Amino acid sequence: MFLFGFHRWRNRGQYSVGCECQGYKNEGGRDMRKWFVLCMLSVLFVGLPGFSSGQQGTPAEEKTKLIWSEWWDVEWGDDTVEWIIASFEEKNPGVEVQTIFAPNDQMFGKLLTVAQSDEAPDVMGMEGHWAVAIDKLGVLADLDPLLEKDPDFRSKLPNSALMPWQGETKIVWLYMMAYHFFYNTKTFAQKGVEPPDSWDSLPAVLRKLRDPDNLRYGLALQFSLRQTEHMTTRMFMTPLVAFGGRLLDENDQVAFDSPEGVEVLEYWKKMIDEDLVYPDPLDTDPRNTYELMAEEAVSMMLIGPWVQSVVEQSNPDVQLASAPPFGGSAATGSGISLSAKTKHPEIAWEFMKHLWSDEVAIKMVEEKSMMWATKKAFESPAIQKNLILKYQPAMINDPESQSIPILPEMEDLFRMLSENMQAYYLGRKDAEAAVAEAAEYWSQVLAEYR
Amino acid sequence: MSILIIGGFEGSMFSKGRSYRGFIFIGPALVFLLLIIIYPLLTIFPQSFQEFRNQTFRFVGLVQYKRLLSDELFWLSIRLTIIFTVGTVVLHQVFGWALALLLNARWPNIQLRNVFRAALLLPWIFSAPASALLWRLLYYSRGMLSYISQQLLGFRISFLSDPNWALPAVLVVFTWNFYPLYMLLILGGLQAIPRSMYEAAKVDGANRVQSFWKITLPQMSGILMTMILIDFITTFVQFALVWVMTKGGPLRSTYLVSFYLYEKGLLTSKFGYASALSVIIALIIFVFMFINLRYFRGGSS
Repeated sequence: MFLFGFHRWRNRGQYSVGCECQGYKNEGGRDMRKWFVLCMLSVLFVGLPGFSSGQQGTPAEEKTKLIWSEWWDVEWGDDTVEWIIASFEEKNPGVEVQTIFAPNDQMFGKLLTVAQSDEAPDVMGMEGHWAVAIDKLGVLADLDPLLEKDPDFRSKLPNSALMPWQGETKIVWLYMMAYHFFYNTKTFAQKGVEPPDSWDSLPAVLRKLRDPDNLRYGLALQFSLRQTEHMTTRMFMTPLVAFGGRLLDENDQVAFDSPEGVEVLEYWKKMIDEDLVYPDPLDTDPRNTYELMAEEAVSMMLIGPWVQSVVEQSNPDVQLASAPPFGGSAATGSGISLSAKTKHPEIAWEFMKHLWSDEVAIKMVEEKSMMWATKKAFESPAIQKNLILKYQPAMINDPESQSIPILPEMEDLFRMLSENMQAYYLGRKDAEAAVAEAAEYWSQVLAEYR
Repeated sequence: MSILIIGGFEGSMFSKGRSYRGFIFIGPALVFLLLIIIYPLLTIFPQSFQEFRNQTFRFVGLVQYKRLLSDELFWLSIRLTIIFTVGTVVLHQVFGWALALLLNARWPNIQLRNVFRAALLLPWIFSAPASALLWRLLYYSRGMLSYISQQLLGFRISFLSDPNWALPAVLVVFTWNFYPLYMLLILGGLQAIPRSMYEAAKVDGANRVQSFWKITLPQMSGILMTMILIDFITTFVQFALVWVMTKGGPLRSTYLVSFYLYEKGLLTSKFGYASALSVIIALIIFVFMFINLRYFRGGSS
């Protein structure tokens, strides 16, 4: 383009551009000068950045780049994630860890996109309900051989932290949790209310906390489809387990279309009808509720231990505590997976091991109230003093607690159950029909994968 | 893009002695079109006859199309998308025309008109996700619009959690976000109509309504058809609003076909099925485009 323009500019007196009429040589010459200048500017704009970046490249090229996808900037704060990376890079100066961040409710879509385009990160933050969909793309490495080669590291992890899928360990929980109620200690103290100690005592507590004129409530329910995982595992499965029901039975058959499943739906409906919970639960998702908790418009939330870390970023004065256990609960974790296509498997594995190191585990327990998935963290005396974590080990290990299984097409399954719950709360279906229809859909999907 | 292509392929580009210069100018756009639109389209079509399983594709013939056409969700999403699209296109034209005619009229104060015009353009500066977030706050059960509904109607409307209101609520947001574009296009067209035509009509005794029907509309028919075509295409594949505001709920009342495609194509990695759906969406758009262009060609001649 540059040579063409320059040639035309040099010969501008001989012909004109843009007009086949005679006698326009001067306009043609001006046109060609403009054309030449434009070409030069284009070359400069395109060429200069490329030229300068080459001069800066040398130090970075010597380091091995490791990509870690995570959503924890929001939950732990940027400084914590940066500390984790810096502490690893200090021990491994030849490695540079870069993160791909997306909030938790967007990370699944992001991981699928990069995995489908063959650019999966080396180390991936992973939720159980994403694993099968991502494994379908052949992206998740089997961690069993690595764990077998490293018995010292393996002995640090509780057995419940290893999540298998079709006989292979694809995720190891980084932290574990039992979903439960976390309450604002200041609000409860001001109202002179004791935290609930059972599902039966919850409505009475909410009556005492209720102040509709000032839009203050004890609890908000999250029945928005913007986060169906929350609706299924916390709003549905947690009380289901406590009421004696099960998501799946011992043969992995769908089991929530039971009297207990119906009871869960009716339990929340009663609270909505009695105006004991924050209005409009069908348009409320966890993110809204974190804001309500930070504003102290809502005093309790049924969620995991990370709630303290999230809420205090908006309002450092909020101090939450865990309510005493109600019995069995839904237990799960958030974990880490290794890419089967990573170019640096050894370094990636070392980084993964660093995440479970004592140094990181103690910091996360003490400073971020995260139930880190190592035996040492579980036994740490700091947990007993931690208002958020003190009941977590007992609840996770409670024989009545149930682990949330890893299932195929879980986002779809969650959505189907959530939609049926919404249909019930909108009066379009009765509770039996809602759970039955959801269970039928689950059974069809699970049958495809057997 | 279709304007560029339609404009780029007007007769003079292919006349001798000029064709090479024309291609230099439309070259980048052509390359973009080939890479971003034509190549994926050509890839998707054969993929729609395949199934992705165990990380490989295998040929299954028309199975994906049969599954698609027998899927109730597909028909639901198509129905909702057509309602959404038609509603949005109509509202864009109504507001676009009303405001363009207002701006094209004689104003006592030119500066006031310019300020008013700038204010009317403001919604356009928001991206779709930003608009969705903003309006979600307004639609929230304790937000401003619910409060207004309480004052005017005596009850609060939960716009995004009521299946009867959710789709209109999303439709309003999309209309608000993009009416400035169509207002500008119409305004540009109005200003290109020679005033002498209106003066001649006035001399002949035509009133304003007659002038509008007999002069303005026929003169604007070309632009009008192109606008409707662009609006239809962009609205039919709208995704961001639904994603941010409702995720297809409540009770799938905002389950547009783009969201259905996202769920099937990305979330479940059913690439064959999603490709078949993409082909059907493309066919629907092509049919509409064909009808529109035939009418446009017929109208202009």
